[in-house]
Amino acid sequence: MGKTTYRDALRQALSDSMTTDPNVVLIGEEVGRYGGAYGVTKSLIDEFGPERVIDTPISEPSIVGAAVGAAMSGLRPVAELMYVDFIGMTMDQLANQAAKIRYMFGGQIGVPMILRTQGGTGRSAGAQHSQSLEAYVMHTPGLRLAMPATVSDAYHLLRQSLAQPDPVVFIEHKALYATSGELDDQTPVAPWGKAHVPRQGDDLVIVTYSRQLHYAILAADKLAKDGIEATIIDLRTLNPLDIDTIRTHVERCGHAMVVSEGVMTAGVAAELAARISEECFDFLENPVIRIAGEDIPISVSPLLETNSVPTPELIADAARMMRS
Amino acid sequence: MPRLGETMDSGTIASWTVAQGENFERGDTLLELETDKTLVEYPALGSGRLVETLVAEGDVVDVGDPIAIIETEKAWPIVSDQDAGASTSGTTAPPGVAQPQSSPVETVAGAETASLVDGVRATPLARRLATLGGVDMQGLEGTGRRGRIEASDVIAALGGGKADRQEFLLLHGLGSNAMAWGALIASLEAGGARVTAIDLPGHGTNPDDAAKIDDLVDCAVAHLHTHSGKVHLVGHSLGAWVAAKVASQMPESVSEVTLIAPAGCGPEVNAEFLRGMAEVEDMDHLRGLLTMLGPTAEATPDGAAAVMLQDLSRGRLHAVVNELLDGDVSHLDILPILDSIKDRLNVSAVIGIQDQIVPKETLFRLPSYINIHVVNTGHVPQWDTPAEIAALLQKPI
Amino acid sequence: METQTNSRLAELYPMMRRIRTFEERVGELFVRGQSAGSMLHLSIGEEAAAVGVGTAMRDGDTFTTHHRGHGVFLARGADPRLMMAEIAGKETGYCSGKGGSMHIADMKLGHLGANAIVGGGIPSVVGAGLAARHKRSDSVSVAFFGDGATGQGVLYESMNMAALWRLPVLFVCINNQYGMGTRIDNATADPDLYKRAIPFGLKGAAVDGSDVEAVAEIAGEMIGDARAGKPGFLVVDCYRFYGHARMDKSPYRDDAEESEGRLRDPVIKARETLISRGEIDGSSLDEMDQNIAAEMDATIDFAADAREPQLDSIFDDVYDPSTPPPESVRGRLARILGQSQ
Repeated sequence: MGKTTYRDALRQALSDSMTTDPNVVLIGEEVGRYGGAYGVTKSLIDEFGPERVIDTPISEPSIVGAAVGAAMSGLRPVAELMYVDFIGMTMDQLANQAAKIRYMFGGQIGVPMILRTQGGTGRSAGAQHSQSLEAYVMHTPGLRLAMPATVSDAYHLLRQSLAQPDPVVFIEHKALYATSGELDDQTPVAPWGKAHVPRQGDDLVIVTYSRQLHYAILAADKLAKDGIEATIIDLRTLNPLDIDTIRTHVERCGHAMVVSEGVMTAGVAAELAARISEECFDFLENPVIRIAGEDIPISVSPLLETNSVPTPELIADAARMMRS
Repeated sequence: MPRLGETMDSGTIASWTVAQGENFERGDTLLELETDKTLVEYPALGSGRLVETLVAEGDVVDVGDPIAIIETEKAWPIVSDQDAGASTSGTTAPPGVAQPQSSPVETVAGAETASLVDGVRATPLARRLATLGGVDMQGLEGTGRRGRIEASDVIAALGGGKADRQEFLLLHGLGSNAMAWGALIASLEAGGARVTAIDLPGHGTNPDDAAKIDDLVDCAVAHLHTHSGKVHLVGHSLGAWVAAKVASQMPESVSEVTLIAPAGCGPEVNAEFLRGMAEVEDMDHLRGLLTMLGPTAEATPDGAAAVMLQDLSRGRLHAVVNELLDGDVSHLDILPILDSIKDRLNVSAVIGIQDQIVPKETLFRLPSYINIHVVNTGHVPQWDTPAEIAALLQKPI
Repeated sequence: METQTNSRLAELYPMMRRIRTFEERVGELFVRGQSAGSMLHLSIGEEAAAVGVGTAMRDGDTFTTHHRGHGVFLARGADPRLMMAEIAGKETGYCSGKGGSMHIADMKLGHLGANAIVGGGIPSVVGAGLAARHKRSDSVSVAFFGDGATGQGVLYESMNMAALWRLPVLFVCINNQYGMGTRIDNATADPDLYKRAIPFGLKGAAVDGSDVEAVAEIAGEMIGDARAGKPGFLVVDCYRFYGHARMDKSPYRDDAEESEGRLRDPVIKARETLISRGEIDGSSLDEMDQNIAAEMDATIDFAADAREPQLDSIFDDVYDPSTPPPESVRGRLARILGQSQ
């Protein structure tokens, strides 16, 4: 129990897993000697050696492909993709190989690998280093998808991912690495595949994940002053998706909003809104509202970058419009 | 003519390699065909004799049409149209034929959800409540966007729009308190009702302890004396038993009674839950008890749960639980009480079919003069679907 | 069958004939309209590559193949009936009818999967090599691919990593001179493919794919090196008799080129060598060939009689069986529109 950062919680999860399971190996660019582009794997090479913390050349497709082959050969590889924006280069190995091997080969074998990566805005990193591309993964059957929002989940969701029999894409958020919070490393807030409800109110339900959870909480605090009480659901995993928790709260409140940093069109928010409408149609007073990234590439200018994705103000304004 | 590729629907005879009348062995090339993609050799699948060629070099032949007559020992099991076999992926309609347009599906997500049906524009929730409450939406005034009818409009309509508004008195169940009615109160007040909820002895902020269940009844009776006019009494669980007793003692002050998941319908009860409520002292135990109550209770946030635990761990419920339970069964009997008021008051009951505290079977013992509403919830319907319960409460009998 | 000798060639010939006959029968399956999948890629003409390398591998070694991998799989011990059933998309096939020819696999024989993506199976052997090193096992992993894959970046990434980390891995390029319809000298400026090993620090070699003894010799040496942590790149020069997919008469090659190619038929060469060396006589070989033909004919019947996958297996194995399968569209419809209240 103690206060730590999102980044350090991730590292502790890797270290604890590598200690208990000798087959966990890390593989990626700069994960060893450099300690990870965002410092997550710092000094793990000193603890576990270069055979378990493997620095690679800049070869994204083969990093993921090697993880596939290693996972089929008895290891539990954790590959790192430095930016989720590079996922396009790896899509064959991820979507055509990892996601489909169990099915194509008639259930003979699974691919228990993790692909850790990070995305999102907040560093003026520009259009090719700031995206939220989880929709590509959610749209691929066979891939599990986890997105920790909190320090606690940075630890527990990663450890839960390492116990999965199927490939997991684990998307961190670059703006969360330095955030700090309490970590009880014995007790996750929820089991794998279940959402967490950090705030309960009767007026509307905000369904969200990753960094937008924190913006939703800020928005909810503002809204409380106007007498609007929001329930907030942190999905934690998009596959598996905890539709039951969403349904329970939306049926109770009659108003639902989905908040996602990925772009609006054909994004995760669209899938969630469709499901909520299907599941809760008779209990809705309003359409399910999507608050998502603008349909634009992201600029380096901080002002433009901030306004390319949802903000607490936007979330609060939308909630007021829904409940006016 | 065989189908040799996904997109093939005809082939051209390029040249006959075996002449009419000649014998051939398995594997020999019989003829060469040109498809849309390339030139193909057609092998003999068994030995035999080419009796007659039916087409000439240069002829274009549709897939499935005959090209030769052969004599063989065994028939060649060729599926001429690959649609009949497992081989082609793809549609059964021949390429080039337009597929019929699927009729456009009415979508709900993202668009205006107040749909126009029979000239009435109303939200899905409003429609549902109107169906439940027997409200005719034609001619209802909608206060929502673009004049649509919203849930609050239906609930208000159920209240009759009467000059004298409906008045409710809510009696909570074992271990609960007045504040727990919050969501239902909001729905009822949105429909124009006046609502009061009280803390019974041994619960909430009520300083008096409950030495026996009748202490709860006495408190409610005393409170009812302070009301002028008639109230619609609503009780939940043990509070429903209390409400029935209050109604039997003061029928002239009661307009009707609604019993939500009532206690006293039979001996079967979740004794572990009841004892747990009296004894609980740690959060894990409380969480287990909340899980038994239903999905909304299970999802109680940590802050609210902490307040609940603080209240319950004062241990003020032992006397009531001991009186209620005889071993593991309840010996409360609500039926004689209901019998005594049946000719004077309307009584309704709301039963959750996933109730884990009072099994639904006991509730079905309620006599036929009671209006029974079955809902798909746990033991606390007013938490799981408050708007629905509000609509039921407002529904005129 | 009478063999006068137990020479290496005499041991290798039967498997080559089995591959040749199997591939011919698979071709018939396609013409009969009974192959699952609209594409079929035969390895006729590449038998020496499959058998020569396959014989140098041992139990516990793993491999991946490209879409033209039937021969390699047979050479490593596959049951041709289960292969035929899988190619026909039947339930009793190696992959329960879900993979077909291009996604055939068998973990027990070390086949980590055939791939329909050119180059798709190559990085996996790097991973398998890492696993072998990690577990201190001495197994080798072999990637089989065609000359077409030498246009793919993943090949060079994988060669680079294998050499950098000294992995027990062998890259085998079965060079049949054509990537689909494109001849190799229209696909690359320097068609001496084995030289690509040099810049990465891998041992590189090229061998005549019509001579199974030569292939077996060099493969034995390179697999042994790989086992000792010296990965290599072996190019086996073959000639593809049929066009890219079954029975394509390939008008993109001229007839002279095609008949010269048939002179390099490895199965014919092996047979003629056995006879000319006096190791086995022609009629014994004929008898062997007939027995093999009967065996392969029986696989067609086995596949034809086998059951189609049941429709309710369609959601199996998307995820591990301990987790719920995805919801079907019909299931969702029934649940959402079938609700009464």
